[in-house]
Amino acid sequence: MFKFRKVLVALLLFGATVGQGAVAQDSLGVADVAVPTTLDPVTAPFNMASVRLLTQVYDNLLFITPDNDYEPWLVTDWQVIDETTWEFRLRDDVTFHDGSDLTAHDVKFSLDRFLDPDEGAGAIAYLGGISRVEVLEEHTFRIVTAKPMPTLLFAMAFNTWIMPKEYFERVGADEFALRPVGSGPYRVADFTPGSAATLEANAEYWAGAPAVRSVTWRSLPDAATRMAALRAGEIDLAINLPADTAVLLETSDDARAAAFFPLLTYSLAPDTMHGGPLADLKVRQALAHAIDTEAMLRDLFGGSGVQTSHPATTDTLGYNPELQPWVFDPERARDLLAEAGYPDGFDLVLYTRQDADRELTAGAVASQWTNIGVNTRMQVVESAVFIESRSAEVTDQPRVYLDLWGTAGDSFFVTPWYTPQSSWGVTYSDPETTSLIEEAASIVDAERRTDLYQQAWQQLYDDVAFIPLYNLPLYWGINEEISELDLYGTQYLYLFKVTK
Amino acid sequence: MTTFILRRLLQIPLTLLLVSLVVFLALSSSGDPARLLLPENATAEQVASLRARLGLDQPVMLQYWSYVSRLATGDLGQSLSYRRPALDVVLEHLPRTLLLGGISLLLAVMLAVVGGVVSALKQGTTVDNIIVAAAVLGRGVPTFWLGIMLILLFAVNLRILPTSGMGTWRHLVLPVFTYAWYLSPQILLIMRSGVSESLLEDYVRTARSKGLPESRVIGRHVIRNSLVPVVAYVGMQMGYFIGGSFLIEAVFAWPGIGWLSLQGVNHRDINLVTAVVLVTALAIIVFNILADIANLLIDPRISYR
Repeated sequence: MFKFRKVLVALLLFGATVGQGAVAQDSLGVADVAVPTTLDPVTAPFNMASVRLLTQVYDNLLFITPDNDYEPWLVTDWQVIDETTWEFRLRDDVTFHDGSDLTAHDVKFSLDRFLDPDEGAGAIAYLGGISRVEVLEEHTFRIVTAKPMPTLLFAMAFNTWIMPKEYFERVGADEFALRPVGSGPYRVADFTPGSAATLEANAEYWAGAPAVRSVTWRSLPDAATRMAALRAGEIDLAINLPADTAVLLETSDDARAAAFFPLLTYSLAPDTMHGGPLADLKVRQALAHAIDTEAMLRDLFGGSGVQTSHPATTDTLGYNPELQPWVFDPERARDLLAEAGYPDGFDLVLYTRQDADRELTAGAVASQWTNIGVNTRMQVVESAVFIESRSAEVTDQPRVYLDLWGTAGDSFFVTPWYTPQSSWGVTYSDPETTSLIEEAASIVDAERRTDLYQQAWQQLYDDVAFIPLYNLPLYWGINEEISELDLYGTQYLYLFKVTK
Repeated sequence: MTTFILRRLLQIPLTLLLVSLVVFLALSSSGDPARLLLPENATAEQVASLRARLGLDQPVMLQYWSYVSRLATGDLGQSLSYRRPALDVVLEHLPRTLLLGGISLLLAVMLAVVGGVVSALKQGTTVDNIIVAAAVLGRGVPTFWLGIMLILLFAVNLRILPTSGMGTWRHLVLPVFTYAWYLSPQILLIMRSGVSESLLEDYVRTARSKGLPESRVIGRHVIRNSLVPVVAYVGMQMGYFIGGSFLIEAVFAWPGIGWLSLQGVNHRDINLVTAVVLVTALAIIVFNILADIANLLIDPRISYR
């Protein structure tokens, strides 16, 4: 077959770079749950696995620190000209992997591509507020937003990988997706879409050449295989190991399980939009009181994890420290149900996605609710089906959704409780909360913004728009020889400071 | 024989059309790719715009019609996640699956034939009991579990083989062994019963009384006759075999079409999954035809009307 030679060459190249057994000293092996199918930031699948790889090859305009703040990166400083206009200055010493200089033209080119609705980039959800990008000089540009957009800076640290305009226009999108050029600490030496990549250190990187000379990136979707690869010494970093697998590393001398808390926490979202018992506040309060999250953490997850009071963590803007986790009180729960007119309880469906921790949680919640008379049937469904069921127009039974939610700092309300911006469907809608959030989203003053978000959380909490559960740690398996690896709540990964 | 082959060849387009319809309907009625491709906090307008761009806002049957008309020209559409022609992506990954499947099947058949013959010849003895027990055990052990266990033993503890992926011949050892373990038992049992039946046939007695050496009696006559059900079985079970290869590819991260289709399903990449299924369906049909032809060659007494 005419493709066979390509496959043979790919096989040989692959064999030469990967699968030799233990990883060499100046190279690092990473196994993630997936490897993107293209290396073009605009067309790569929009998930954390893609982000982790892309971040080594490209630079964002700003940099996210481990405690969720942003710092100058490609952009050195900025000025607010008016409510909707920002002016930024770029570093002038950054070069792309092909030697060309990074200028404001490349920034405009990249942002325009992200914003182009025809491209369908996932980043548009974060950058969509931008109306246009204007180049003022070689290293100065302006961004004009449709309305005041305080989340702009955060978006610039997240999803603005800068691509070289000249190179892209010369080679075309298809070639760029396979052989990209960025300005990041690593250049792409080899890439097998969806499967593996080999990265080499960019010696001219403006922030200093990375300590580790080469990085091999592999897609190992199965967690057991990822773990095996780490223990066999084939890789140095295994992303996202389930808790029960990570525990096995305690007896290992070569690798450790590093735990960190993500920004996403487990919460329940009762569907209040279709009438029925869940539309009654007392019923929702009853459901909240019926759950013993402390016992769940202790019995299901070995005590690791913290109770939450709302789907935000302490270092996200808008976190309200006055809110408390719900008190476990099944007696009160039964009384509330009776007061609401359901002394004999009712039937309910609990939806969640296929995932070990979610299923454990859902099972425990379902049995605790059944104990107070609310007969709960669990529906564990595949991810895409879960999303579809969230957006169902008609439902035949009361539904509650269990999932991980949170804010990525500065309150991107990625939630089912904020009407205007959830394409997956809302489970709760309140005009007052919505206007609080919208007001907060349009003010640039951080203190005022925080105050408004806290008010919004208070209202959502009081109205039981959600039932908070807990925050469970994520585990990454790391070779003991690795140091300087920062772990982020956002699940980002920066390798350029890592040494081995 | 030629008419038979021609008739079978004509069935191919019809079968493929039917398969493509079933897959297309199943995938398009179970999720909205646009919603899945964008994060949760995308606005409804952004989702609608992506949906329109991907042509998903048209009625399903219209989408299918344009799909089928392009299919007739060999165009299986663009893969949503790879942003390249779906057929190209599948054809790139196909040789890896064929390599793994081919070697595994060869090993499985060799093991099964040898095991089946020995077992039948020594029927009732300890050797026979051991072989049959091994076959039954082989059928009962979950492939997934076996694969992980082998990885733990040979890759993690002994470190003599790699855990996963593709690259050198070493990467083939564990997946091939696991896959052969999955394929072999049933073939072995069929072979065994075929051989023990053939041994009772008149022609065996005749051959022996003619003075033929036992090795020729077995090697030339008995095995040849017993192969017919084996070949028929292998041809019929192609779907089952290919399904098993998907499992192997998941455990060992072997980037073949099974692994590819898992990715495709996760991303609701309709064109990619349909392309995998069509190519697989075509492969099953072709293998079935080859199996029938092989049987015709092995046993001239068989005729297909």
